[in-house]
Amino acid sequence: MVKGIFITGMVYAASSLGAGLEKDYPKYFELLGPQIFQKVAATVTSRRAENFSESLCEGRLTLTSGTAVTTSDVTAATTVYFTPYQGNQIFLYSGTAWQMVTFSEVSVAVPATMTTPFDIFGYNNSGSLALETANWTDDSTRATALTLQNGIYVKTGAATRRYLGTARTTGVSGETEDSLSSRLLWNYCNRVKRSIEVKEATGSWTYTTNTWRSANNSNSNRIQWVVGLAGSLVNLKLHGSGRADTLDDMAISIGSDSTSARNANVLGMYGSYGNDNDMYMMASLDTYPTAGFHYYQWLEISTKGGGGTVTFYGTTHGISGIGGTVDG
Amino acid sequence: MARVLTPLGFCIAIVFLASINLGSFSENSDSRTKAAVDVLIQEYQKRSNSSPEAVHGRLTLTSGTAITTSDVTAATTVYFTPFNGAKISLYNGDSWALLSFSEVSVVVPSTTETPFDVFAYDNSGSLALQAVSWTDDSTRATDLAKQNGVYVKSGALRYRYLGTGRTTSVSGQTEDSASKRFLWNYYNRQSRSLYVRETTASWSYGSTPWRPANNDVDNRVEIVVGVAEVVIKLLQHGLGPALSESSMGIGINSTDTPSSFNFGRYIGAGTNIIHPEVSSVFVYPNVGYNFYQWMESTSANSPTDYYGTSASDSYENGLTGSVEG
Repeated sequence: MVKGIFITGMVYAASSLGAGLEKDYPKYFELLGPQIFQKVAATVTSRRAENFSESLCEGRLTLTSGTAVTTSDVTAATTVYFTPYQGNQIFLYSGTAWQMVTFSEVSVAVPATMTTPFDIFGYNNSGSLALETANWTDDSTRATALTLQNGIYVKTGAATRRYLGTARTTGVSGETEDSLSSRLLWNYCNRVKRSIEVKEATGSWTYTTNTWRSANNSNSNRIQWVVGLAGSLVNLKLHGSGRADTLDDMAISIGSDSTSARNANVLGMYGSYGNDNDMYMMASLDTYPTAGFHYYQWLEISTKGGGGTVTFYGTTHGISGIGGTVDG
Repeated sequence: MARVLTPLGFCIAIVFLASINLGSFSENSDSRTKAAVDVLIQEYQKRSNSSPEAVHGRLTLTSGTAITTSDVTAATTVYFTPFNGAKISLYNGDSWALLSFSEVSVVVPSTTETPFDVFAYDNSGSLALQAVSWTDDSTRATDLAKQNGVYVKSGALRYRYLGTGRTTSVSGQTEDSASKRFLWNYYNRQSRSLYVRETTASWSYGSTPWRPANNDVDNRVEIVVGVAEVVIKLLQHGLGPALSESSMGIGINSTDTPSSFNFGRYIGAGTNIIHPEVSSVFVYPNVGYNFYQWMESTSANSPTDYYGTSASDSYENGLTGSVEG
């Protein structure tokens, strides 16, 4: 009887090892007995470690506990979570070797700063994954640089701290945000596309100066994003409409970290050619930001400054604004 | 890794173990049980050592930079640099073995306008690269084959396929820029931006036949793709003429016919209004070299103005988008 159970259990367990021994831990533990199970499990773990090695990082930073990829705005968040994603194991450097740690969701408090980026690191705290943060000096400068350990980003001077991503506090101390207009949490591991969008709720407004400014003179007409390492592409599409009379032209564009100058790589932009007809306008930008905080400002201009009547539309004819995707 | 551990293989192992070891098994591990487990573990190790999954690197034209964000032109060396790790699985003729590596490189072949594949192999315990030129822009001289589902060099299975480059018109040089993405990664692909614009303020064209915008074949983006499994996303921005009907679009590997995959081509009404003309393609490029040409056509056969880059900050027109590579 015992032999039958053993054989059945071993066959069942062995045939399922490939799908993940750890997922059926109690069942196999009971069937095989603790010593046999632990030996087989340790070997599975060891083999997995050798093959995946340090690249394994099965989690994502999130501002909502238990939700690896949030799809609704999360504002005024005071905690950053690292939650399992497509697995629950991560390799951490011990100072001499990489070791695999199985983890449940862990968290760290958002630093008590305002409008300052911070890195999030994972480390082995007596066999358990733990998180810590490190604030940046400013929006483009790390106080403590990253370095590579066996091809994996870690904290300079503390290689046991594995880099997981970067966030930024809002204008309220100790709070951050991951929303359509403010993507202030960026993952290094397991990045996915994050949607971005901002719209102007005003029906229409006028502007007749030949100088770029924020759309409707509102700095809220922008997308904000923090990126921990260069190489993530941002895709932006700006849609607008308006009307310029025979004395003037008009255009819209996107400023990178500027409310008074457009990004030189923006295509499109053009609006009404002084014909006093409602016109559609569109502009696009695909670009790689440098590491740190960035904003992309919806801009407008009356290109002749001719003193005519130039009207930009927010919601009067359709809906104007910026949309797109970033990685994070 | 785990999926190489097949149920059938383990069933065979277990039947074997049961036949020789379990005559008087008890739940307390005795010597025969331990021996049985050891055999089981050895079988597992043998199989799991065969995992071909690990490729912790990216091809790049800048040493030490896995993802370049600025244009790299006139490059003479292709690097394979660590990315999210520093190991790679290579086939040794019998099984897959894991190899740790630091950045390695290979010289760009002495060809012009010819794709080349980049392979990795174990050179006496160290990772090395090999470049193999294609016959032409769409034909490999040496095919890819699959070993355990992994692309390798046909007839030389120890050479693992990493990606494809293409030389420019200058022998021994390649480029990875917004208008010429001539280095394509098979592993660890990233979104690579595409961009070209016409710097001329305006020009006139009054004929129906499609032609490159401003009759300039440089108004295109060019890419090389090693395996047909990635999507290119392109958006064409233009301004239609005020005095005649017109269209703008994107030709794929053509300077006289817009692609059937190109949608949104606008025909202006010729009502003295300059129209924004925007069109798109979302398509899987063919294996090899491909170009995407910004094109124009004046339907009414009367000369009229088109627009590139405004001196007064009003407009900039061209192609923008991205491709995985």
